[in-house]
Amino acid sequence: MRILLVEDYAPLSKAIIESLKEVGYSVDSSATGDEGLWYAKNHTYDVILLDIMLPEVDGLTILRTLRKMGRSTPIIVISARDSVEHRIEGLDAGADDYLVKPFELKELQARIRSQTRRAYDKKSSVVEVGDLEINLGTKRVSRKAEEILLSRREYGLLEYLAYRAGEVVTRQDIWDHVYDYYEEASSNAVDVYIGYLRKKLKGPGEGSYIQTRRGQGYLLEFSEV
Amino acid sequence: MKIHSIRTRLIIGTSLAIAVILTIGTVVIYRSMSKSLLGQLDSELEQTLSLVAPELEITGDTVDNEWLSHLEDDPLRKHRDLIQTWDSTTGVVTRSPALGEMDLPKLGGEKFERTFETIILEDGHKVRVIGARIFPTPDTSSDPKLVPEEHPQMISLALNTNRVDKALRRLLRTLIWGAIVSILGSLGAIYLVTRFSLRPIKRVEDELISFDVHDPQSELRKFENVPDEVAGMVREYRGLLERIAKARTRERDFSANAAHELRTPLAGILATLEQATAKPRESEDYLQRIEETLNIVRPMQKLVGRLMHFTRLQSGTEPISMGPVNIHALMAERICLLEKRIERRGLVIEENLIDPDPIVSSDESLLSILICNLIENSVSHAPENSTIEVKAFFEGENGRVEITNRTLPGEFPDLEKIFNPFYRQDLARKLDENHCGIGLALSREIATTLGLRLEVVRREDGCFLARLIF
Repeated sequence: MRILLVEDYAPLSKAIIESLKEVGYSVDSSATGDEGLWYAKNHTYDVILLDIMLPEVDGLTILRTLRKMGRSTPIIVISARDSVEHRIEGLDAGADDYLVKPFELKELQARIRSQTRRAYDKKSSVVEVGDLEINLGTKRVSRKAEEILLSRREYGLLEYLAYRAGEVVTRQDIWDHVYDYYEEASSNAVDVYIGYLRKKLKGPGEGSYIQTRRGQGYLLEFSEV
Repeated sequence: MKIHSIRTRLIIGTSLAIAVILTIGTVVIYRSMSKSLLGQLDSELEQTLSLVAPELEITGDTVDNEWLSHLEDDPLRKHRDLIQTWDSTTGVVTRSPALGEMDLPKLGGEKFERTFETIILEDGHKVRVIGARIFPTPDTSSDPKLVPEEHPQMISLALNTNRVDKALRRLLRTLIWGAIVSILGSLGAIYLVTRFSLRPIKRVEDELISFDVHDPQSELRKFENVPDEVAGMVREYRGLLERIAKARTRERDFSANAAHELRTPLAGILATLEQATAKPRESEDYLQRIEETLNIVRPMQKLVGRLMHFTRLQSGTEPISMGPVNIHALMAERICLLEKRIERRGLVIEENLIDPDPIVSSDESLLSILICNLIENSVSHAPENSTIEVKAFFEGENGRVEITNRTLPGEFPDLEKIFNPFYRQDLARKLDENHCGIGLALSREIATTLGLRLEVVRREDGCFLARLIF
């Protein structure tokens, strides 16, 4: 899943980016409001984390601009402004959630998951495909109660497929939601990682969990063949 | 009983005043009418007396009551006229037929002196009586030597007061009803007038009630058609509310901004430490994260120190120690401490120290913070590679420090608000880790405490000038 972080306080921004990347998210970040707005306008994100007091363009202006453009990307405001009035102002401007600084990174991650589930209309944090179980909360993947160890990139790819389980997902969709702005992957990078995933998910003599739809993309669905 | 309502006071007070005036008026009218009607009655009695008196005639040794025979001849008068005479010489009492066996009071003093009295007869009728001492008319045809003074007569005449009483009762009824109707009418009129007159006050009250000093969006309407009597009060109250609202907004902004300035680095510390302990790491990695945390803590320590100074200055608990201070030395020291930042931004400090050693009497520690803040503010806001001019000199007996810096095109602070703690021109802020927004507010507090004048001026050439006058 791809996250945009717009936060001007470098030490906080650094810690958030690191923690999100460690749990499999791709993160684009910006320290100024105008750059953040550019990212949000020109790229697809699953969640945007937005500070209010920013250089150049403030967070509320970014929020209102995006909503006026019809962007429905979930936006979580992270701000030190903690009064009820400020929270109401942020939520009324179009924020989906409001987190007051200081906060724990675990809570931030939980709120990101909550917004993502809502965006993809997932009621539960556990996605089951045949014997395969993907826990979006604990970020653990298991088959027949046996844990499968995945790399950060592999998990990120599987998580996105899990959120869209039952749907055909194009390569471009995967590219937009799994890779960040600065990653220069080759044209077949997605196919390569799909191959890695298939191998790790498939047990000896079992069917496949990721199906290829020629000319369309990939589908997370169990097949005996 | 204390009445707090102006309307009730007006209604009760005015009604009472009208009631008293009407009552007095009613009594005066009634008494004067009563006097007038009785006067008429007395005048009638006097006329009757003047007609009856000559009808007492002395014939020989007796007094002849000729009026009695006249009454006998007139059936109307016979049953109406109440007359009684007393012969003071013989003691003979003569009564008119209408009196029967009843007596009239014997009134009268000296000759021709008339006395009036209102009495109730034995039959219960109320009558007005006139009494007089008279001398009968001598019948000189029978005896030319008759002397009237030797036959004094007392005479009393009475007239029924029924007509007068009836008229007075009618008058009294009319006056009482008139007074009641007038009072009730006045009451209604006063109620309506006061209600109408007090409506603007009610409007003002509603407006003031609806104004929420805690809500920065709440606005006071411009009051129109406010009565002259309360216009001053409304103006003052409005001013007071606006001042409270502004103070509340400043307080709210101060808290919000202070929270922001402290919460954000706190969030940075928390996130950095949480991330450090998220999994086992190499000792080098730990050291690097601890160093990052310290880099967050140091500016926080500076901000907290400034906030503490600010709070102590505002509460008057900051210790002050006055003594001679060399402004040049102080400024040079402060500029030295900011050397790295000045170099990084490519700034040039042009020191124009006109007087060789300007010495002022002040608190060196506080003055040092003040001057440092002013220079630091200029270093933060001056465009890169520009010049900052620093001047210290005496003008007459007053020492002056002037710090001037250029500003970026289109960028100029709101001079009214620049001394507000954590003031920012807009919600967005600059990437400047050393600028927290409390410096100028603290400088103003220090200047006030030390009895100095701190001004900021926008010069015509677009430069920002901070001036400290001793």
